[in-house]
Amino acid sequence: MQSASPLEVNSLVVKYGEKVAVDHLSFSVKPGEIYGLLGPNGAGKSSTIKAILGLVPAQEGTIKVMGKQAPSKEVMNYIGAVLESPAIFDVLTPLEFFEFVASVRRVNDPSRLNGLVEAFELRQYLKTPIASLSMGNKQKVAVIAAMLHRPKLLLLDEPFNGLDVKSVRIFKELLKMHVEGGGSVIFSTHIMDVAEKICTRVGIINEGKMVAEGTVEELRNQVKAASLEDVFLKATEEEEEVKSLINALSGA
Amino acid sequence: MQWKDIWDIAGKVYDELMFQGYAASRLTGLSPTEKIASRLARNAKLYKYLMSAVYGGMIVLTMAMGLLDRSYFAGISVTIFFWVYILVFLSAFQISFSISSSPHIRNFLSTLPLDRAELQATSAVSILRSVDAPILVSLIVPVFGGTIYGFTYAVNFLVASISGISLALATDVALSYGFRKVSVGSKVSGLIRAGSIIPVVLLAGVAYDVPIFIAQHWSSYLAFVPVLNLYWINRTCMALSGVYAVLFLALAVYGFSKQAIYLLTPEQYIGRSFEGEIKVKQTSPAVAIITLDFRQALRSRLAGMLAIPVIYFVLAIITAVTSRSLISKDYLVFWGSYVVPMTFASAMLAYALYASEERGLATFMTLPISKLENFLSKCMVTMGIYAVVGALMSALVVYFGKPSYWLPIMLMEFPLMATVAFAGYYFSRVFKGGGAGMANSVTAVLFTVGVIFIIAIPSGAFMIAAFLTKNLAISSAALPALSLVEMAPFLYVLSRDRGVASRGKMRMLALMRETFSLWL
Repeated sequence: MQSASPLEVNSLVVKYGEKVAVDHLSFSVKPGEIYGLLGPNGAGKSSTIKAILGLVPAQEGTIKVMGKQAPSKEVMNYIGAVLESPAIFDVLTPLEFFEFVASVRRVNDPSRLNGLVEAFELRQYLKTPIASLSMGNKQKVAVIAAMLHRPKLLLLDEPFNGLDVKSVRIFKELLKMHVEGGGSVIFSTHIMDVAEKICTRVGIINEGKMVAEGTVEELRNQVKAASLEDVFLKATEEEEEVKSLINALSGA
Repeated sequence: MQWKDIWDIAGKVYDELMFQGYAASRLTGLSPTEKIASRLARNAKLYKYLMSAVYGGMIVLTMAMGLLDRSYFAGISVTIFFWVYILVFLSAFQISFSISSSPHIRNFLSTLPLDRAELQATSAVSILRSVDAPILVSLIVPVFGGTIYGFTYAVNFLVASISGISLALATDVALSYGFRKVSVGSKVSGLIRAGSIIPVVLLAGVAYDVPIFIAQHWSSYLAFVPVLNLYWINRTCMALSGVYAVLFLALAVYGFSKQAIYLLTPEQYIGRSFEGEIKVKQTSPAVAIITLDFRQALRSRLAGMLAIPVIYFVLAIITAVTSRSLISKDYLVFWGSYVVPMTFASAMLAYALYASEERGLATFMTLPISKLENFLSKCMVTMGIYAVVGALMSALVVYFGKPSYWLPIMLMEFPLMATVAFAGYYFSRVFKGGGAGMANSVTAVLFTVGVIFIIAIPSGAFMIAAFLTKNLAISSAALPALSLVEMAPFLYVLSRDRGVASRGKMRMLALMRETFSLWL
């Protein structure tokens, strides 16, 4: 029997008043896949992730996680999420926050928590209020909380924000281990190098619409580009604009 | 640097301080839409004018009452002191939080080409601008009003205003200092935050009772007690209260100059070492949510709201013991004076619990917790606290020989439950604007009006039934009956949330199952 797809988004529409942030977007994430959602600022990446989580309402379309209609309480059991700005309860300490998440998610796996805390070198901050942590350490808290229950689908919005080089490397390895264990990941990022190295597939969205989708290799071959960055600029029709801006700057 | 430049920069810092103080705690962690962000910024600036208008009106009302009721005349200065204190304290209170949690302002100022003295001047002006309207209203209204009473009273009112302004600023500076010095996560921090609003609630509660108490218990030694000596309009007492006012003013100026420096002083947090294996205290989801609620509420600016029902009860006892009014009053007067306000104060607990959750609401929404489960947790906390306060009130009425009062006091749990359901519905609309809740003062007022109606309908029906039947036990049935009717639409909306997996005919069964499993 074929297992349910971790994520299926069909014809999703998200609007803020008159502004259309996501415009009939469709894509899916397969089991064991790291799917990179790429796009320029304001393209609709974060709105797509928020709609999957139910943080903004979807005006049209359907979202299914593990074959179940999302958003729902049941679906949240399958998901671990890191939001763009780590909106965690900042008056708690990381330890209190982990206790809360573990209790709500009914996870009793101290070795998992110990392992993640050691990996991200967060031990010395366990009893420090989250409000007083640096942005990078707040991001680490959010990442650990999202991975604590070994979710089937990790939804990550700019997950590498604020992380130091070592933490980025560890996080990338954790993501690889996560998909090797049968989990799936969808993440949005501006860092093309990271996407190029770890994504199984990428989807490039612009003005709320999918403009290119496939493996990095497929996309490079399609537009005869040397890197994902070139693919991105071509797909979002920004290449000529970038060239003219650089010319204008060099002549200034 | 020119004074005008400092004024301009201070204006920007003032804008940010007001925004942080008023709006930042209301943002949910998601980016607010442009419309909401603009509205929050506008309301942040309007807040001090709104407060000034409301409390300025209270001062005018107080002076008008003095003219109408001569028995009240002597206590006016003390009452003016209370209103001025509350106005300035609440206005500056917002800024205390901003200053203790706005490192970006400090970082911004440090990048400007200003020397130490210019930085301090910028900081001082920006803080002062946040309380300019309340201070002006506190001085102008009593002094102008005092001219109607005569020169001596005008001077006495001015002394009362200066004392109120100075002590309010000094209290705020002390709180700001406390917030900075005490770690956010510590138990002492929770106590400071919970205690921060107690002076205001106490003063609001006794604003009219204290002058009466002084009048009833006239004693010469009270003439030497700061603030209370404003009661006596004679040369010696006025001279003494003038000296006290100067001392309070010196204290406020000293504290204020310190506060301007706080805004510029970097804070350093050093992580505490944590040895050994990390152990997680596993609880049921319901207990986890309740624990989170308490931790959040005790460590937020809304902490004082947790203390309100208890303070109200203390005030009720003080009034009852001092005036013996509790037993002498007619039951309906007792009900309207004590039980209904106590229920209203308890209803604000749910508001505090939901509001303190806002900052991390985006994360909260990504966890498998339904709105109904969240409502049940808030219900447990709110009703639990009312049960304690209600039981104490019941013991008091039994002690005063009115045991029949006990049943309706405890049945007020039902209207309280309906207000929590209303709060759940109200806060479920937080995300409608794309990331910010409590977006304006109008919605906050609407919430309060909603709570008043929800409590008023069953308790009003009970009062009418009690008046007609003269039987408290029978008329008490109105409380649960009407409250359940009120609660039904809110529960229906909450149960339609994503939290309930099953649909259609099985919805109620699914609800019951989920409610039960929450506690396991």
